[in-house]
Amino acid sequence: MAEDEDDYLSDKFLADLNAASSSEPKTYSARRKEAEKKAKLKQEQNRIKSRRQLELESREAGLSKSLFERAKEEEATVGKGNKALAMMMKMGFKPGQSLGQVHDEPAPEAASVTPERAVSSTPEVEVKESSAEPSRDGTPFESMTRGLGSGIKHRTEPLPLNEWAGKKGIGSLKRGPSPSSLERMAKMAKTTEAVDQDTFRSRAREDYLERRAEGRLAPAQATCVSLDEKAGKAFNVLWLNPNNPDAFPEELMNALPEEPVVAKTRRRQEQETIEARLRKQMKADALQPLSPEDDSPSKVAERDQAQLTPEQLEEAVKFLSQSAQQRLAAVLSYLRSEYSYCFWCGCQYNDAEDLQQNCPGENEEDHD
Amino acid sequence: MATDNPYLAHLNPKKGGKSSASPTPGNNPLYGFLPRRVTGEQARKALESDVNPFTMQPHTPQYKKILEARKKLPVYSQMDEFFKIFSENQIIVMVGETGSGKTTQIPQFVCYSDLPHTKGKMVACTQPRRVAAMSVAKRVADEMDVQLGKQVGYSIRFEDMTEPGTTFLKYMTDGMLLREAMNDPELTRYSTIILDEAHERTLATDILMGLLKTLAKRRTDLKLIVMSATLDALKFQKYFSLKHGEVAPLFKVPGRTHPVEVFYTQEPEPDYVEAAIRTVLMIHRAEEPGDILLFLTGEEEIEDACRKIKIEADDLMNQDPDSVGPLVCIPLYSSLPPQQQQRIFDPPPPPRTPDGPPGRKVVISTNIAETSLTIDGIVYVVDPGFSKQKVYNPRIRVESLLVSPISKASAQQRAGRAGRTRPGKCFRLYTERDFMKELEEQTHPEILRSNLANTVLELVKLGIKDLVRFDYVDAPAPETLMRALELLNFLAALDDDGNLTALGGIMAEFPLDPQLAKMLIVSPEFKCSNEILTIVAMLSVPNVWVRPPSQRKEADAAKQMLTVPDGDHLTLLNVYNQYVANGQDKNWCWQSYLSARALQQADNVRAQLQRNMEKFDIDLVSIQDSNKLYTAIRMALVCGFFMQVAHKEGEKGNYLTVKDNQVVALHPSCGLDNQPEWVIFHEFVLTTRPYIRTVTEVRPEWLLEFAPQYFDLSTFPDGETKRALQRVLNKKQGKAAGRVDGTNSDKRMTKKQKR
Repeated sequence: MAEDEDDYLSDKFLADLNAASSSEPKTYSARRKEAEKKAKLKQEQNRIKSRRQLELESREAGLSKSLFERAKEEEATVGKGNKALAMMMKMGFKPGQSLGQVHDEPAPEAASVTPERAVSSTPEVEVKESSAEPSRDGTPFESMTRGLGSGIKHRTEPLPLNEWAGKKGIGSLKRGPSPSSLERMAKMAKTTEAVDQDTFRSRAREDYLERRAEGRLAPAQATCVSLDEKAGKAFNVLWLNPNNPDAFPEELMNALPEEPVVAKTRRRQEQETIEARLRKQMKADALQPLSPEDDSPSKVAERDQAQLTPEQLEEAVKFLSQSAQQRLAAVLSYLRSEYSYCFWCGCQYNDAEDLQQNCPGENEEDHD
Repeated sequence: MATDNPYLAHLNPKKGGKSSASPTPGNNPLYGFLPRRVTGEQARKALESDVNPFTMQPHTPQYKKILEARKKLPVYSQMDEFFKIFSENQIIVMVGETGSGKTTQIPQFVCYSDLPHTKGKMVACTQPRRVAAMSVAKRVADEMDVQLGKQVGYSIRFEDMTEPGTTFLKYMTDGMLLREAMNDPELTRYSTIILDEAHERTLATDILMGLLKTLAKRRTDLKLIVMSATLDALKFQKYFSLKHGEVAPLFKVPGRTHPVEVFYTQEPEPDYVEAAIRTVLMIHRAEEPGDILLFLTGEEEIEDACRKIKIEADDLMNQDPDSVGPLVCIPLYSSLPPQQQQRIFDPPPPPRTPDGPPGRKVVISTNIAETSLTIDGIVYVVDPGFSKQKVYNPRIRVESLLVSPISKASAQQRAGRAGRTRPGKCFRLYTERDFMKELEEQTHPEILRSNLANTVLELVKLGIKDLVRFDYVDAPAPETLMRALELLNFLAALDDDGNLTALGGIMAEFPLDPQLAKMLIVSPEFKCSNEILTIVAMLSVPNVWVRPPSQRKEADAAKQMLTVPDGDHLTLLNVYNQYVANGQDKNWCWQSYLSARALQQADNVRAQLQRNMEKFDIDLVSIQDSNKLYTAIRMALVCGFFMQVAHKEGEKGNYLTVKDNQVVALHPSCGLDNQPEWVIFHEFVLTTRPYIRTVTEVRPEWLLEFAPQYFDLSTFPDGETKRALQRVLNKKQGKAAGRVDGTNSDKRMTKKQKR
C-alpha cells in the first residue's frame, strides 16, 4: 500500500517546487536534482539507442541464417526434422536449389532474340509494328529488354530487406558528389563536422593545432606550387590560401559566397570584435554590380575559357571552407600521391613504392 | 468445338440460313457471325447497328455518342488486326500503353468474336484492383448499352455483381478468378480469359499465369490474352510459348505518346520530398502551362507535400501576381474515398483575373498513377524515384513497409505519363548515373515479396501437388514456401505429407488468411463465434481510425474512449459494436474519428463471411458475461495466431518474437495500458523500426494448451522465453500433482517472473 504513495523524499515534490520557483535563484540541492534529472534523461537516451542496437542486431542475426541452416541445427540438437522442409524434399526439393521449372532452353540463345525478331518469327501475325517507337528519352531500352530476355533464373534466397533511410534521395547514401574531387571533399567534410561539436578543452587544443597547421601550410603550398608548375599545371585548388585572397583568380572571388568562406578564416586571426563584424556585414550588404558581365562580357568570357571550370570553382569553394589542418592534410596527401613527396621528410621519392618503403609514415609524429 | 455449336446453326448461312429458329435473322446484327472467325469489318457493322445484338433492344442515343468516342481510341483503329490474331491463336500477348483503350475495348472485341452468350460461356477480364474492376465494368456496361450486373458484371472479394446465365462479360479481380479456380480447376465456365495489367505482376496474376499455361494445354478451346502496359512483353511471350522455340504472338498497340524530355539532377538529393516540392514550384514559376504529376510514396507524405506546396504557391502568387497563376494540389492514393479520387479529373483552376497567368493543377500521387490511371493534361512529371514497397522476409517473418527506390521500368513508365497530351518533361530527382547504376531493371514481382501462406493453401486446394516444380513465371524463395507449409501444417490445414485436411479444405473456402480462417472455424468451441466473426471482418478492411494531422489530439482522445485495455482485437470488436449500437450513423463515426466507409465495408464483409459460415454449419454463438466473453475471445485468438506471439524481456517494453527472437516494440497505435508479459500480434512490420501491430494480451497457459506442437519446449532455442514457458509448465504440472501446495508456490512464481 505504501508503495503506491509518494515517499516524502520523492523528487516529485521537488519537481513541483522547482516548477513553482524556476525564476528564483536555485539552491544547491535543486541544482543537484536538475543535474540528476539530466543525467537520467541522458541515460534514457542511451538506453533507447542500445535498444535500436538490439533490434538491429537481432534482425541481422535472424536474416543471416537461412531456414535450412536453422532446420539442420534443430535436427542436430533436438533430433526432430522440420516438417515443412520434409514436405518440400518429398516434392523433389534440395536445399540450395530454387523453385520452379528448370527451363532447358539455353539462356544465350534466348538472349539473342530481340523482341522484333521474336514477333517476325510468327509470320502469320500481322501486327502493326510501331516504327515510330516512342523513344521518350535517351535511356537505352535495349539493355532492359535484353535483361528480360536472358534465360530464366529463379531465386534461391529471399529478397533482402531495406533499412529505413528517411527522406534521403537516391544515391545520396551511396556516394558523395562529383567523383573526381570526391575523396578529398569527403575527408574535409568529416573533419569539419567533428570540429563543430567539441568541448572547450579540445577546442583550445584545436586552436593550437590550427595555428601550427596554418604555419606549415604556407611552405607546403609553396612546394605544391613548384612541383605542380614543374608538371605543367596552370592551376590547382590546393594553391589557394585564404589569408591571401588577392592572389585568387577573379572569377573565384565572384563565385565565393562573401561572408562564410573567406571571412571565416580571417575572423579567427582577428579575434574579431562586434564592430568589425558589423563593418563586414555592411560591406557585404553594400551594393555591388550584379556581375562583371554587365561591364565587359567579352573579356570575362575569354578569361573563363582560359581558366577555371565550374568543377574547379566548386572544389575551390569547398577547399577554402575547411580548417587549416584539413587543408594541410589535403595538400600533403596530394603531394604524396601525386609526386611521392613527403613534406616531413622534405624530399621527393622516386615513386610510390620508394615512398612506401623509405618514408616512416604519413604523419609528423612518424618522423620524430 | 465451338463452331459446331448447335445454338449457332441459325447464324450460319451455309448450314441453315433459312431456319426459323431465329425470328428475325435480318435484324440480328450478329447474323452470319462464326464464333472466332469474325472479322473487324463484321464487328464494325454490328457496332453501327441500331439494335443491340445482346439485348435485341434498340440502342439508346447515348450509345452512339460513346461509340464515336471509342472510335478515337488507338485500339479501335487496329480492330481488324486484333480479330485476325484472335482467330488464329490460342494465346496472345498484348502490349498497349495506358489509355490505349485495351482494358475497355479488347474484352468487347472478344465478345463479338467469341460470342460467349451463344454457348453459355463467359469472357473474364481480370484486374489487380477492386476499384478498377468495378469502374471498368460500369464503363463497359455503358458502352455496350446494357445494365451493369446483367450482360456485363463484375466480381470482387465480398461483392458479386453478376447474374448467372445472363452475364457473359465479367470483370473481376485476379484474386477472385484464382478463388473460382479452386472449386473449378478447369474454369469450364469461361471461353476466353483476359489477364489485364499483367505487368503489375501481382501475386494472383502470377499464379494464374502458371495455372492457365497448363490449363491451356488441356483445354484447347480456351483462349487466353495477356495484356500488359509495358515493354516487357517478351518475357510473357516466351513463358507462354506453346511450341518449343516459338514464342507466343504479340499484338501491339502503340500508345498516343509524345516525346518526353528527361532531366536529371546534378547531385543526389539529401531530402527527396523537399526537392520535389522545390521542383514543383520551379515548374509552376518558370514552365509553360500544363499540369504536373508528382510521385510520392504514401498518404501522409502526400498530404504533407500538398499542404506545403499550397502555402508556398500562394506565397509566390501573392508576391508576383502578374506572372504566377493559381496552383491547386490534388492528392491521390488508394485509401482516398472514390469521390475524392475523382478530383484528379477536375480542370486546372482558372486565372485569378481574366488576363492573369493561367492556373495549374498538381496531382500528387502514389504509384497508382504510374500505369493504371490516365490523367489527361499532364505535361510535367516529377519523379523522386521512390515508392512504398511491401517485402516479406521468411527468415524472421517480417513484412517491411519501406520506401524503396523504384525500378528503371517504373521510372520509364512515370516519365511516359508526361507525354499523354503533348510533348512533356520529366524531372528525375536523382542523377543519370544513379539511374543507370542504382535502379533495378524491373520491379520485383509480388510473388517474391509476399507471404505465401494463403496462396499455398489455395494451390493445394486446387490440386497442385508439386509446389516445388510449379511453373512459376518467377519462382519465390524456397524459404517462403517452407514458411507457408509450416504455418499450414501447424494450423492443421495440411497433414505431415502435405495433403489437404478436411479442416484445410474448409479454411480454403474462406477468402481470408489461414490464421483468420482457423480462428473463425474454431470460435464456436469458445462460444464467441459472433465476436470472432466481427474481429475477423474488422481485420479484413482498411484502417478504421481517422487521424487528421491537425486534430491528432482529438482523434487520440476519441480513440481512447473506445479502447479496451486488454487488447486491440477487443478494441476493434468494441468499435464495431458501438458503430452498430449508434445505428451505423455517419455523424457518430465522424465525431469518433472513425472511417464510416471502412466500417460500412466491415459490416458488408461480416455479412459475407456469415454466409460462408452458414454454408459450413459453423454456429454463431455468444456468452453473456462480458468478462468471460473477453477471455474466451482471447483464447480463440490464440488458436489462430499462436505462431505470432511475443514475450516481454527486460523492463523497457522490449518484446522478443517467439522462436525468431526478434526484438520488437509495440506499435504506437497499440492501446494496451500496461505491458503484459505475453502478447499475440496480428502483424510484425518493419517501418522506421520493427513493430508488432494489433496486439492482445494472452496467458502462457493457453499457448501451451491450444498449440502444444508449436510450443513444444524441446524444440525451443534456449533463452528467457523458453525459461518462462518452462516455469508455466512446471507450475501446471505442480498444480496437477498436489493442489495443496500449489497456491503458495504460485505466488512465489509470479513474483519471480515480475522481476
